[in-house]
Amino acid sequence: MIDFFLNDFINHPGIILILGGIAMMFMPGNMRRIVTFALPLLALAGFLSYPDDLILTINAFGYTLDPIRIDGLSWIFTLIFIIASFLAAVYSLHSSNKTEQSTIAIYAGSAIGAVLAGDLLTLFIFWEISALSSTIIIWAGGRNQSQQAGMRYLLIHITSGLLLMLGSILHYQQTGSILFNAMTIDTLSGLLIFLAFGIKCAFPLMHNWLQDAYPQASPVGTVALSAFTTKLAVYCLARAYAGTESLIWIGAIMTVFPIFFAVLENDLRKVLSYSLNNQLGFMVVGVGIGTELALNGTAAHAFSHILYKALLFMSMGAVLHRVGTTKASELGGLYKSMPWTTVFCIIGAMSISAFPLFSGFISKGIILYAVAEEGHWIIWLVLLFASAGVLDHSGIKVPFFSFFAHDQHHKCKEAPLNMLLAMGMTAAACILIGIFPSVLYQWLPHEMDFHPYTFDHIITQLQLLFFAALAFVVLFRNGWYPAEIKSINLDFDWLYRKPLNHLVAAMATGFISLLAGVQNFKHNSLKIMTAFAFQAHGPKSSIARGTSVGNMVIWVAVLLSACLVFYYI
Amino acid sequence: MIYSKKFINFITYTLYALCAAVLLVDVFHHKHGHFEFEEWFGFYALYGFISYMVIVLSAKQLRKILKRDEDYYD
Repeated sequence: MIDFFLNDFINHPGIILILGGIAMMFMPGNMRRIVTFALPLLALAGFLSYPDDLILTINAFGYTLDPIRIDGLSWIFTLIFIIASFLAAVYSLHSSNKTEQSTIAIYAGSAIGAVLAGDLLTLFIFWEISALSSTIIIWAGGRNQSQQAGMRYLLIHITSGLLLMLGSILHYQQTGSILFNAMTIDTLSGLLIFLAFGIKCAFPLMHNWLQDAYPQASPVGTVALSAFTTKLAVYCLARAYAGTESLIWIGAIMTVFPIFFAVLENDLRKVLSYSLNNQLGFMVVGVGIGTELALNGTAAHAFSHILYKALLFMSMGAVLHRVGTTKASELGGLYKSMPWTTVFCIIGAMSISAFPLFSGFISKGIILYAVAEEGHWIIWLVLLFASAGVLDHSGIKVPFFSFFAHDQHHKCKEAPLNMLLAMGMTAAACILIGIFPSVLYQWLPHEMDFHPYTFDHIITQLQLLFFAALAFVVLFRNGWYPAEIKSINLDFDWLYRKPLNHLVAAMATGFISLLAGVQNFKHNSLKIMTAFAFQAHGPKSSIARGTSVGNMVIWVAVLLSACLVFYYI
Repeated sequence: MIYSKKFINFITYTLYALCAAVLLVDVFHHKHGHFEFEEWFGFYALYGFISYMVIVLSAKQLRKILKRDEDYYD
């Protein structure tokens, strides 16, 4: 029994990465680089040593726990998380930031541990490790806003953790089980856990932590961050809330509203963060539809999205590394000095825009097909609208304004070799999945009969994309396209960064003056009391006056005789 | 090279040609969709073009309300 146990935990890919990450903190530079590179491979070997179906049940603290559960859904998410951690590791090889490099391994490990968790307690533990480690990655970014943005990020993710804990406790009280399975939002416990996942999934109005914090991490940090937290949330939603109808609408809103911000935003890494948010929307819609086909679509889209989004963040990270900024207003013409990065960025852009032969085409297609199968024509039109938006902000804006547009004559070197290698591998994966979708489809949780390369699908997608591109040409050549200007745009976080912030500051000032007031009152009342006591008991007070003993005797006699009189009456 | 008028025109006209080509397919080929409107002539082309225009132009109007200086929160 113990052997069985140890074996399973030694091979646990999440634990391999977490322990390895902790060990890396104490290693010198080159050794750390070798371990960074080797750890995801070790984790992969450990993971592949597991059978495809596994539930490890233990009894601890009086609970029945499933710390490891492998089935179709958790299998594919674990696989892509391991792949993402490998790509991020290669991308980070040039870095000498010890904290960041080792924390990325811990962060990836915690996300994998959470995906493999079959009970709410294990999920909660890994949930919190991922929140803390990702905060450290943001802090390690070393940019102007990294500290403050990291603190805001931490507060929001701790809230998510608290909701998960509260929900889990209530769930246990109601059902007597702490296993993590399908739930409903009709109970309070289910709703609390739903909100915990929703925060991490960047639901509308809970989304600002993402656009606020991700651009504040380092080039390497953002690549790692983009892969795990939000897709962990998508996995959890797919696990517990598949077929919850409100998710269809939440997801649809998520695909649309970030587009407008992405169009206006000047910092291209922030544009990509809004675009990440919009891509999550497609996955959330898939979860909401909840059919086997739709859940396959969500899993497939999460898989290809992690790759192309990492690729786009890698290319912008390379630009940040070499030029020192990713502001569109300061970029342009970089294709001359960074030709490889340009090519890789364009591959990422074509993948996210879902051009045929690229990964987005074969994954987003499943979700749209599943939505249409269920007859949700409004949602379907919304998703199609959002697809045109994706072409703008990620397909055209990001590569166009950094590598072409107005030449700013930046003289810089091409990205470091390891960055190019990571981008090259990721780009190859995007194209491989795009051309041979069966590579990905064989790993999906459910059997399905879906063929992305039908004549109709190819031609309609090309019509949509080419004519959307035509709209860009019309807008740009006529000077109607919004100019890239140094600015920021207000989003929902304005509420807690301005008025709420002022309110709290005012309350704090109020509280401080209240405290001062209390202190003052204490001081003054003490003074008054002393004065009063001095008056009564001081040397000149009435009490201090000497009175004769005779007086006293007379009064005692009077009282005693009064007593006698009363007694006889 | 990329910034020459000739090259920009080449790219633009290639795109025009591609648009014309994929639209022309609708004349000869009858699409099968889940919804009736999918089968209309040029539905995807028109929807893509209009969506893109609506997104960019409405974002441009939104900017008037939402735009602030970079140091707004500092």
